[in-house]
Amino acid sequence: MDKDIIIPIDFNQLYPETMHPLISEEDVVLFALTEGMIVKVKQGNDQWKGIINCDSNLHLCFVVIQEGTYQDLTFPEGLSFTNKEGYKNHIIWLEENLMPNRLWLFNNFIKLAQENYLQVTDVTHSDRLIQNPNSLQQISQIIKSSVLEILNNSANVKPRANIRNTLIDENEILNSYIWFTQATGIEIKEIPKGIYDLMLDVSLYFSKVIKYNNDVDWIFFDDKLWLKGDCIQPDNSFLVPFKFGFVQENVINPFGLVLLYFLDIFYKGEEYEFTLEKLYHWVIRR
Amino acid sequence: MKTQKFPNNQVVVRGGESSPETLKKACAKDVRNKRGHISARSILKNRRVDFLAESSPFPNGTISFISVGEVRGLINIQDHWDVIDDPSSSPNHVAILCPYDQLTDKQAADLSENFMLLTNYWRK
Repeated sequence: MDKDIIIPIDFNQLYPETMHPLISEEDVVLFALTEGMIVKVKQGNDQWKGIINCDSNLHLCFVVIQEGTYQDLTFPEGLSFTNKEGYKNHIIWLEENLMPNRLWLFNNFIKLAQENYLQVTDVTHSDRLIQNPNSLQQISQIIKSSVLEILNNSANVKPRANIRNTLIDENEILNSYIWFTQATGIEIKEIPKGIYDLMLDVSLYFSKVIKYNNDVDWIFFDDKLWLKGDCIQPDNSFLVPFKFGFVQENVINPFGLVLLYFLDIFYKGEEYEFTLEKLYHWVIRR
Repeated sequence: MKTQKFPNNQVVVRGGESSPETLKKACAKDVRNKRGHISARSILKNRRVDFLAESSPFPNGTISFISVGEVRGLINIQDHWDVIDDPSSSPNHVAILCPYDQLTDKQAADLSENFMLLTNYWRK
């Protein structure tokens, strides 16, 4: 595979009766593609590896996507939690690039729920993403309904949480699944990949609400991103976040806390106890 | 080809971003009877984006959606837009029927502006 060649594809144009994207005749000639060749393909913000296949009867070539090679190009190449030289740039990138881009899309999702384009009931039209702690109540309701809907529609989903003692070998963030595993040290098995995207977006919004309403800053330590401020005084009667190391003196790991919120939904379903609003008031001293 | 008339509130979803450039390319790529056809997916009478994204999954990290009524709303004295059933390629496949075999920059921009972009939380 020539690593410099990235072939444009469109998952809306598929080889008949399959989910394999077609390659245009021009690109077959331009990149000198032949059957069996391993290639890198891209559509918008997504990138995959795949194998070229051709149908001589229909004069069509298409790509059979290989599993496990998905890269979300929201995360630039080389992004790592363990690159000490890059910590400052990492935080700038988080605040100026990742958060605005992803939260703009998250806002669209919340809007759809309010306009009944999603299977979420009894949603009020107030307190959309306005960075107010009160908005977290409604966000929790939408997230719970959506997660339960996604899990109920995924056959044989039984999420399992494993604590990882080591970081992922390549120390490189390619997508939200790797982000969460690195940021929390916990790997959740057997949930749809899109749930990781939802966890990331909820974490970013939760962090933004905390930062917007309080005097806190992002810091790096222990190869992880934390929020630090004197106002962060978690109630020590709730032991689970301490046990997992998501809370320390005046600092919290917002990704870890949101992971616990999702785990509560996974395992307790309708009986879940957390809401993001409760979590906020548990973390911030008034 | 079926001639099923879709209701205006039915949702139409495409994998990835539906930028003006993408839509122009897609329209010109599939021309039948002198009209471009832009590939998309939709289910009769369905207005739930999550139901469609789960029934007919996209591997993309983002998806974009528009309603049938918004496509038809692009109509003016010269242009005639519609969404039609087009089951030849894959399940739930439909086509956004362009007025001609090519889109102008303005037509592509007008169509693109009506698409809403979302993170694909329903990706398996």
